[in-house]
Amino acid sequence: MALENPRTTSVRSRDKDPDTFIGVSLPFVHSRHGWFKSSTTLLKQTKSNMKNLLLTVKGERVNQPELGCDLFNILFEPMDDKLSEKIDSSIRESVGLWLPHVVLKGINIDLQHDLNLVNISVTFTTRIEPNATETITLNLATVGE
Amino acid sequence: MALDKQRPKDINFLNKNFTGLRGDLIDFAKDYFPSSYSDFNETSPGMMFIEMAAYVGDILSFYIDEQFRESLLAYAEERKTVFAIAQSYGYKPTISTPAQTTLEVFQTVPAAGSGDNVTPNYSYGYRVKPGSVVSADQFGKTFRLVEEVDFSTSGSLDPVETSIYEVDDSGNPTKFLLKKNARCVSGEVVKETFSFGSAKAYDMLTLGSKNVLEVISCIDSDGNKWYHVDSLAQDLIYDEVRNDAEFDPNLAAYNDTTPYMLKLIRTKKRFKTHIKPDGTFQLQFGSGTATENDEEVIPNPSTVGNSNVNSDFLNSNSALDPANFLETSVYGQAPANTTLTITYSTGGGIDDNVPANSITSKRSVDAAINSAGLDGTLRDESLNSISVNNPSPATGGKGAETIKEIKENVKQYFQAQQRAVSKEDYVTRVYSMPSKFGNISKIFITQDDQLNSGQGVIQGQTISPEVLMEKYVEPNEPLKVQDLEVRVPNPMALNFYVLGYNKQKKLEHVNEATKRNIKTYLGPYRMLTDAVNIKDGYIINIGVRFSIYAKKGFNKEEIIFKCIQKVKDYFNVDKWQINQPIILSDIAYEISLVEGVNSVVPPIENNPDGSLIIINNKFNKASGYSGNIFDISTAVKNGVVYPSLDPSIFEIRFPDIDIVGKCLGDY
Repeated sequence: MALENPRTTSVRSRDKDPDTFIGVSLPFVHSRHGWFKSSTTLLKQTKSNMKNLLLTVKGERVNQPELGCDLFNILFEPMDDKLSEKIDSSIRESVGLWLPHVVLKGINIDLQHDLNLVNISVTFTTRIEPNATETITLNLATVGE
Repeated sequence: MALDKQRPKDINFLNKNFTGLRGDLIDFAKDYFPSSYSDFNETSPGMMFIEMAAYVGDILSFYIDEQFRESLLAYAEERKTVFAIAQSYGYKPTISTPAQTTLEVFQTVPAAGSGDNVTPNYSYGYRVKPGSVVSADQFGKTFRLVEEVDFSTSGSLDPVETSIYEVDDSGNPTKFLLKKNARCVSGEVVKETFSFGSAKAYDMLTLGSKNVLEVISCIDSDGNKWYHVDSLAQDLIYDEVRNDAEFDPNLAAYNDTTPYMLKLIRTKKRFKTHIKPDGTFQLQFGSGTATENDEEVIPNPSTVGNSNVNSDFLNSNSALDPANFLETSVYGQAPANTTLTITYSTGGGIDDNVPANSITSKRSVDAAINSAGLDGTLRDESLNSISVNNPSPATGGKGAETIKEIKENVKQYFQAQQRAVSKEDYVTRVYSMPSKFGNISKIFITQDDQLNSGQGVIQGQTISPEVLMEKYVEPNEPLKVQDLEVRVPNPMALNFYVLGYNKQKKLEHVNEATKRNIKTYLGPYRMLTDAVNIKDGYIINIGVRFSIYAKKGFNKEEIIFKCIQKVKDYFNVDKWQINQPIILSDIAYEISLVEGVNSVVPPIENNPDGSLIIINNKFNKASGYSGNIFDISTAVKNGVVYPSLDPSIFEIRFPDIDIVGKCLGDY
């Protein structure tokens, strides 16, 4: 079932072929197809990429100082009315810059003042398959631990 | 597919930086793993691995570049690499530079003789040895004499100045004050001992103090001297001995002007030094660990392979092991079962530049005297009278060389190569010989190209009068003097024409002891094929006559005095070199610059050519001249007096009587 010329094959065709892999998915786990488990569809791979992007602090990656999101810096901001707005804009800014094929469907930010906790869930889709959506959830109280 | 697997992968080795390597890795993944990986977005975890690999590649490339750059002196930036490269070229970077100055050393001696014949009794003149320590107490700095001050001898380059120090009731001198100059350098002298057990090839030791300026001496427990060499392969060392009858009864006659003889010695006891950028100073010794002599350790024909001499060499204890070579003293000897006492100086730096008249204290003066027949009290009095002063400030003290300075100095040092190749190399080398080995004031070097008047050999052919007539004289022409001046060129030899000064600073021939010292001194520097003949230069003594008209209102005698002074300055022997011509118009111009001189005119007496300045030869040996006769009139061409064809120098022997000026009037 392998594609005849995987290099020139379209993304849609690759998505349909279960033997063609897009990239390494998160979290890193061992796979029978290779050292790391790989994703077979663009949407699944994009979920890993989103997670990787949002959990990377700007300046963390060597030679890519702008790659990442400001979420970790916002974590230390006062938990006031503007916090949700800051989180929202930082997610949109970094996704818009680094994952232009992603369409954000919704960003849900739940501030729990008593627990000093922020729950973020991002729902998104891709321009290639607009009907299929994925959601990632980040718990900013525990994410750094 | 099997064929594809065997085909070597297309790898681009040209990229060195992060961006290039990242791009190559992406291309590589696209080409060879299209089904396994196709997400090249920067946010993907796979891309993180690719970028990390590119980052590692970038770092490795950086270090490769860095190491290559550091291996080249011109581009090296790290201090430790510049130090290492400099020392591999033979240049020793300086961690600290000592200040130096000329010290006036004084001593009083009793008077000898009586009446009008009272003179200093030089027998009480001490020999103050180099290494004697003096100090500028006000600044807490110590200095060390680097030259010997010998009050018992006096030479033109190392004269002793005398003055009356003490007189008795009748005004007769009872003590004289002697003064000599000597160079001294700053730095504390430190002595350190190091014990050695069994011999270890290329053994090293590190001195306890930093900022070491110089290793002064290295003596083992048996009293043997170990010598500092530039490299361990160097086995010839200069050594000096006093020029006395014990060394050479004939040359000892010249020990007043050549107090020391230079000799080259071959030694196994040697060490080289290594400086680290942090100021640590190390001494490294040679590889010779064998207890036997080299001749016993290495094979020779009488013990190996020559059955006529030694038929049983295979069963004998002959030295057959080629590794024995490693134990020889070719690179010097390794110290074993001994204690080395190393004396060295440390310090230096800008603080050592003390002002004038500040070095006045004696710390430890090492002075010697031949006490035979001397009065003990007077001798002690003379010893205690030794004192010092620096009339000029100490200068030159500075800190470590900068990286830039080291690089420039290495280039210059490497180019010089410590070899005498050109004429200037030889001249500089001879002039740099220390004056205690004899004074050389003038030197001229030519290829050996001797005059031959018929008895020489040209290309194996003896020049008989017949050959001379046939080869060098035009047919039907008479034989002239110039035909006899057939030259025999010898490209393998150099003629050094040298002259020195006597005590009155008049030119004189150099004595045999000094000539021998020059030969020895040049030995290690000269090229193998350069033979060196040391000859006496010719001194042409001259007199000068001139006439002037003065300006009205000026004192004529005073003007003449000034003019004579000008001529004296012009012929100051320090400014003259062998084979330098006299330009008459220059002398006339110098005289014309004297205030009050209206014009320089040709002298009236004995001046058939009407020359502005008359030069005449003074040759009467009985009157103190050199005795060399030179026909000045034929040597004058277009107002220039050329010296003889043989290397010669013009000298006004007695300026007070040999320069005659006349004022013919004023207007």
